[in-house]
Amino acid sequence: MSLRRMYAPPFVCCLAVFLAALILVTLNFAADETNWFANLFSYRFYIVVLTPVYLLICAALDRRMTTPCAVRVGSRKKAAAITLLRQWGFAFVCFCAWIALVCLFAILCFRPVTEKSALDILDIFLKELLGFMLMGTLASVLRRASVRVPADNAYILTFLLAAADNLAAAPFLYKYTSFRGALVFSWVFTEGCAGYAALLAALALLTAYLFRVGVRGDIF
Amino acid sequence: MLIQVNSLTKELRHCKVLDNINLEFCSGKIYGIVGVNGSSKTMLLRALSGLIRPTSGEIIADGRTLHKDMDFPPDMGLLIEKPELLEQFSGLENLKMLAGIKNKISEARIIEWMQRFSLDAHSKQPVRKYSLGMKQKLGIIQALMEEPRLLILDEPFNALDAESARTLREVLLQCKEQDRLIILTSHHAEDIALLCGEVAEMQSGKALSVKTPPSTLPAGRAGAAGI
Repeated sequence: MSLRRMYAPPFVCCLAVFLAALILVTLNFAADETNWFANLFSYRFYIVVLTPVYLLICAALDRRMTTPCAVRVGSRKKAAAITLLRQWGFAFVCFCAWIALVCLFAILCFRPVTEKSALDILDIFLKELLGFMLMGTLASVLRRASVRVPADNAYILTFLLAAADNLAAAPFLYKYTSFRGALVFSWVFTEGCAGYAALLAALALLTAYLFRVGVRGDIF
Repeated sequence: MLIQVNSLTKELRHCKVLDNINLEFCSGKIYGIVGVNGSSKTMLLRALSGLIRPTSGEIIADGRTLHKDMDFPPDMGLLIEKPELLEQFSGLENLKMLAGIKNKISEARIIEWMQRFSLDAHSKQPVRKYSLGMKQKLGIIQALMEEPRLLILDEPFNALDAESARTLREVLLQCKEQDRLIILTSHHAEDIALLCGEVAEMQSGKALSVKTPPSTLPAGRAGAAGI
């Protein structure tokens, strides 16, 4: 199937670059034994290191759905769905690799992971994955909807929103209320089920918006 | 195939780029859209191909309304402005990927098309290293290769060498013989005169007139154009 062929080479290349970058960063973090595990799962690391790489790759995957490609697919919704699924799939593969890598380094460099239980790690995995899925979907909405955002800037704007939420709004809120959930993206780092509920609700709403309204935009 | 354009209007930022257009296109003909730069020829083709949604009015293809019953006209080959290709892949890889979506034609047939337009199918050169004319040829081939019933071509003769322009004219006339519908824009009066049975003239977003162009050029010039 040609869509698979079209997406597979960059997918593998991007994954290789992503993993190489992660190995370097992980090695760097691992040098500081004291709280490296917490550092790797911090919101700063997530936003400053992981998110730009992910959104850059999402943009590259999105650009592959060219007009001749979309016309052949025959449906705007189907074309958007194919792109979105590739982005979500990439997020899933990256996060599996990321978590595996962190655990591997923990075992090889230090000791079996004891600071966090398997459930904690699964919790982080799911929330950060949902956060990425949400970012990919928001960028797709901004790119396709009739919102006046230049298509190429949709991914930059998404990054800025996520960064503003996690690095500015959420810490500010936490300072005064001891609660760390501001806009949607910061709910990734909110403990308990409320984070899941907020992320899943936002993801469902954005996806529904993308398929009901977002795909109606003009293609230039 | 019959395409009816009824009172088509498109506004972009409160400016009418298409203004109450009424046209009809049917199979077995080549239609030309002419007009000066900025007269909304490309915008009309975008609307016909389903890329932009009308502000008002409708486009009906074979009884089915665009954007209501379907997103794009069925069985359409499209070249609008510049060919959108994946620059890091070779020409053949690009065409194979596109062909694989519908899976209607074989690799051998794609290679045939490339040879017809004097492109080296076995070249490993990525598309980013292609010349403007070579990219245009790829864009034309991707539109033609699956032999769609509807062909929408925006300035297909741009950047083509004389030989390829002649080949394209031959192919388009063959398509017409095969009862397919072709709509194209061109600034070359010769191409319009040689190919098109009917011509719509655009001016400031309005279709001014639909007329039959002078059917023949002086014999010597038609010969030089390869017909």
